[in-house]
Amino acid sequence: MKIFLIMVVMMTLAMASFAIALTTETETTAASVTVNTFVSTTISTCGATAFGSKDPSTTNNPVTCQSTDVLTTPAVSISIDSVTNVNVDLALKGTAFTHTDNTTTFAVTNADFDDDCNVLGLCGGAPEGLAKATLSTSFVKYFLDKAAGSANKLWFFLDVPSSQKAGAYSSTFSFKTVEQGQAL
Amino acid sequence: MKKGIFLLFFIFISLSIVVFAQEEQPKYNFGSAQGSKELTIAPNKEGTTKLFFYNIYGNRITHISLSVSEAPENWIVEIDPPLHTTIVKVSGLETDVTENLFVEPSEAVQEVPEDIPEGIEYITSSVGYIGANPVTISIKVPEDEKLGKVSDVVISAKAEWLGQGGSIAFTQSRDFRYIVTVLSEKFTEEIVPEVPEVAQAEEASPSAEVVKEEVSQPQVVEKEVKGGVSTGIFVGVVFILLIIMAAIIIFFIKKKR
Repeated sequence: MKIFLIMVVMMTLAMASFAIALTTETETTAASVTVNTFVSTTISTCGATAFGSKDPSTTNNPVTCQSTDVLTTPAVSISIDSVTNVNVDLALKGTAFTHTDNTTTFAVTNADFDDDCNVLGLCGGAPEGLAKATLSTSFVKYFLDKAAGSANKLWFFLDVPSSQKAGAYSSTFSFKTVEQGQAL
Repeated sequence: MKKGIFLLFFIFISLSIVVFAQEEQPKYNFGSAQGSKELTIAPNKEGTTKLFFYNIYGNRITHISLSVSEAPENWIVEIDPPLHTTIVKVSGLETDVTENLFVEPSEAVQEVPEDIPEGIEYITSSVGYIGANPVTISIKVPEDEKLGKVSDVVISAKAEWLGQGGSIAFTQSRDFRYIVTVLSEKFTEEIVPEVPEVAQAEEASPSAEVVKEEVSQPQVVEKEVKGGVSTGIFVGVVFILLIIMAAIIIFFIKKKR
């Protein structure tokens, strides 16, 4: 009788194990989500971006509407807008200054830029930020690891080569945004 | 009294003229959204993905031109809408602009509007819903492309604005990189067994070191992969076997008696 009871208990446990196994089988499946990359940058200027009328062999001519002794008014401000969800690096380059005759030019390397107006040793004694750099025809990073909400300011200064032909010259300055650390 | 009223009226008109004469400074916004950067495409098949462009922080129309700056040889990468010429009137003067699309200034909203303009798709963002202009990128992989190949496809975008005053014009650029893996459409799984290494020795010269050349010839064997048994079922089977063994033992014990 005892042996019979033991066998019944063991059968019950066996059936219970089967029942639990059948009702609690677990399966795994892969799940993934892609978060879209939002990048938005806005350029605003102090006005019509121009260096005015300058003589040959003059140096460090500022953009006419940018401030020269305080940090209030840059020539250009590049905002990393709040919708941006990655940190970014900003790079810039320029094209040669071209005369209205479309033939005469002078190199964009005559233009320097800085994140403050300290190039002229003025700027109200404000501390030096990033070092001044020279524009080139290839993109070069300047502002690094910038997050959404940052406003990145630039002052521009131009040297006019000696004996440069008189007339109106124009150039295009380009800004490129890449995710922080990525190659241009 | 009349002179006072006239003076106030004159001051009001003057101030209004000053307010309206101050045109808002231009803001050149270039906004983009890129979805999945990793794509899987089978040989002789075409995969598509979308880029979205918007202009919710600017007050000038953004003109965008796109190009394929990097892609494997013989792959066909197309951008829709394609490059075309748009006629734009800037301050009354008509000018031609070569672009893929233009994006007009807009604002982020909290709800998707009922009437959505043609060519606009609303995307969700951290600042609300944005009415964006979609661009479809189609990538076709050649039929003879090797399975498992991983390649980069890069779409370069340039944003420009018209009517910029001064001697310096500003543009913005951005690249969109996709990592494309060539894989078969149909899922298969094969176990590749380890192959014994065959060693071969060659003597180049009496003073030279003996170099052993190992040649491996992998063999592919198709094998059906079976799933395992759950723990609960295993325990149940063990219990049943124990019961059977106990019954047999009891039977023989009783028989002996």
